[in-house]
Amino acid sequence: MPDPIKMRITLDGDVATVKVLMPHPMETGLRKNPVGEGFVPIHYIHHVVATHNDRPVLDAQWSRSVSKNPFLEFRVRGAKSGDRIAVSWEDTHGESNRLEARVK
Amino acid sequence: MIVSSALRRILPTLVTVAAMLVAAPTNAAPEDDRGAMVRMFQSRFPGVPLDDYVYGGLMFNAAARRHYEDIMAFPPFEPDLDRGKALWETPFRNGRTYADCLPDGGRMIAGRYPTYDAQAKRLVTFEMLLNDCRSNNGEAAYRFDDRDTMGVLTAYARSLSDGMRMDIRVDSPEALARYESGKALFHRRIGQMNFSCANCHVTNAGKIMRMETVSPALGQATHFPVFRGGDSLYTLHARYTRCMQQVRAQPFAMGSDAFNDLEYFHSYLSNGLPLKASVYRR
Amino acid sequence: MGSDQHAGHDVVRRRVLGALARTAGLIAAAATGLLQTARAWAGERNVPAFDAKVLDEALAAAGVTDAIESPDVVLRAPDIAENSAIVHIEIESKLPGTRSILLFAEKNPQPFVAQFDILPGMDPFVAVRIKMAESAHLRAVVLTDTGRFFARRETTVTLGGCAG
Repeated sequence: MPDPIKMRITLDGDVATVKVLMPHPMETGLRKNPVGEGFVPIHYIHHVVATHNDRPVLDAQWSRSVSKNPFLEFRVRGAKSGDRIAVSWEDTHGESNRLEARVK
Repeated sequence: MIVSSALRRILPTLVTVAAMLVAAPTNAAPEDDRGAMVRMFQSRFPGVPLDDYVYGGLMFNAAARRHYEDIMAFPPFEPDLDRGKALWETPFRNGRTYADCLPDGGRMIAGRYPTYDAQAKRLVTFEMLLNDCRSNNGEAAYRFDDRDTMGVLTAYARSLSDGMRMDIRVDSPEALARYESGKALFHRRIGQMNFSCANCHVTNAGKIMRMETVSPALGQATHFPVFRGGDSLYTLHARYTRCMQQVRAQPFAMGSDAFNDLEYFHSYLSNGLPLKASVYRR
Repeated sequence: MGSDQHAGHDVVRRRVLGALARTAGLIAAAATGLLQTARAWAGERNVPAFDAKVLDEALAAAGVTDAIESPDVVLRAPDIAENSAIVHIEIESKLPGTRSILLFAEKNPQPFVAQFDILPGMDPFVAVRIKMAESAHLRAVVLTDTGRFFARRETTVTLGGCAG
């Protein structure tokens, strides 16, 4: 069970700057297993979607080159206080996570 | 009493020096050490504000410093700090908490540690203080080298003192003895590489070694634990351990008297600098 | 973060796990479940581009070989990446009609790092942290309604043993 997504939103005029941290090992499959044989199996977030009041604004496809505990920042235009911003991810094991937060 | 003529000649001087040592406040010698180091670094790196020494090697490199700020804006190790916060907030079985047990609720106090407890006749580090809380409330002490308990707990607890100026006191002869022991270790060459702490972090500070700018000893103690590579937690004692391994010495145990003494001296050097615990390092 | 969020998350998990049970293979799994809504807006995952082992093949598979270098694509990255596991990158497009931002790291085992499809309502800006296998050119490609443009930057990766 992954740690929850963390999100921070700041509103400047009608632009919401959204900073997201998605706890995830982002294993490349190239890292030697620290305990035991072989390599740590590949396991990474490959798809991220952000919505603004349920309307998709960002759809991202990722490779294993994104760092561990991925950080993502994006800016939503036409935002106002009380709006809902949500971020979801899905990884190569089919696991997923989602967090919704309100613009303050 | 028979005294050699040579000794008789210098005896008045010895007596005077001894009298000065007794009369002077105990902080005098440490304050001289700190002042000398500050003056030395400031003449070597003119124009660098003293507070910038808390950035270690980053103080010499604006681009690296900017990358550090980018990462600190939302650091990848926040889940670890959250885990530390959960440990901090979870009451002991008797219902009490760290905040109940520590002075000032544990806020803005980390810069006073290590401190010498004259009654208990021991040097107390911040991590020992946290463990004292546990012991006094019927909980088992954490191991000083356990990343997932003491590591994340102290990473969070120290962050409650962010911005506090380091204020280490050496105010008794016993305290001075521990300080001097740490100072001696700081300058002692050890390991197959035959390096002392001072060789790298005083003499060679600011130079490039192993493709890295060596950080000055001044300021180092203000920002631990660090998260190297974004998530690898190093307490100050874990960092000492790594240093000793790198010079191919047999490391002391984390939480040992030797490391506590070293931390006492090392922390004193940073007196007056602002704490910023739990930061990113490459 | 209330309990309703966790409940919502569980629902999502069940949906995704259910979807996984019904489908075989990662790509099939990616195209189902909670992300389906967005799928209607954006393209499918370009598997050949992500799988390509060298930059030219990745660019070709992504269909951006003919992109034009443009100062309106702003790629901010450190000149020297002190830790190759965490390199903070920002990409901004000043071009009208920006639909996608693609990021490539020339020397990575698979150079295509990420694709960000910019849907209406989002500024053409993203920041992300990536791993770099070694010193290399980073390339940001922007797809607009009218063309393909890029910016590139050399980032040197250093490896060292100390940090204080």
